[in-house]
Amino acid sequence: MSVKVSINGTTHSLSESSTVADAAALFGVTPAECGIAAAVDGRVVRRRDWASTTLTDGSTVEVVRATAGG
Amino acid sequence: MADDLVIADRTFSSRLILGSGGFRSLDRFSAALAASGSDMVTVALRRVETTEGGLYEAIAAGGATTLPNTAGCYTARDAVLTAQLGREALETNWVKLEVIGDERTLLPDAVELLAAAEQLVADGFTVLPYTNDDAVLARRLESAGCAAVMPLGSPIGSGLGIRNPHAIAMVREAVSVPVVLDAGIGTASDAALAMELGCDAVLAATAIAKADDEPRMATAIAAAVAAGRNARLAGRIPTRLYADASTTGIGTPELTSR
Repeated sequence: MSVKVSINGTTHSLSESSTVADAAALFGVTPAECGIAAAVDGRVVRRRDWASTTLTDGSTVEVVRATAGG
Repeated sequence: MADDLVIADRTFSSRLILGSGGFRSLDRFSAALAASGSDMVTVALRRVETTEGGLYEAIAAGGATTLPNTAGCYTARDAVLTAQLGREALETNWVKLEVIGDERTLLPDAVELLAAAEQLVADGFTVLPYTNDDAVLARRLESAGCAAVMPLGSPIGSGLGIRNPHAIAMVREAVSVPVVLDAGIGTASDAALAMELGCDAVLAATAIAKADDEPRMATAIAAAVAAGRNARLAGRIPTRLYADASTTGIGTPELTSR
């Protein structure tokens, strides 16, 4: 079984029980990295919870970084 | 004598806040940061794949703290979530709150801004809102619990300076929290004027990032901020319609017969 998840605007097919950490890993990002954050379905998921937060079918994930601007 | 900037529970030695957007490279940003003497830099949040790392480290290396912002948000809902992402990313509950109304002007949407400010204050944030040069709105933001207000001098990136100095002076009179002139600074004299009007600090981004010589402009604007601050504290003379001779007329010699 797999789940369809929107990650930063692109739909990905991930294996069931994939986590926020797996989604971030698509970009080579780990929760240890400075200046990174993620939200699932409009709610921030703390970095320490990435590995234990599973994604469900239809989840929308945003993985962002602090960058130049403003 | 120290003349530190105090916002909420933090003290800053510089009254110039640096924006990080628009620089040609990370190295040039770092050089400008060093020249500016700034100890606070605002940063945006964007999807990871569109960005490069290293800015956070460059800011830390420059001895400054990061102030996450909500640049690009059009609704209170998006701004609140972006602020929460910034808090998670940078481990700070400070946020420069931006909620804009349209892409062409980048002017704040006052209704959404106030709503977002109220929600973020309730969520424990120290909120520094980018706002219109509107004394009444500034007072509403202060009442909502904002730690400072950041009125615009003119539209973001326009370099038009302070188009309505009177309005900035009224914002200064309207609130007791720090006033940070945000947006519109084009060159050093704009920053000096902001401080002379009573602003507590100036935020500059494009004026420095897009200058031909970024560190030199950072130096110039920092000096202007200091000069304007001194002039404000020194107490300027009132303006008058007619001349007021600085030399007494008493004792003027009569050199030609009338």
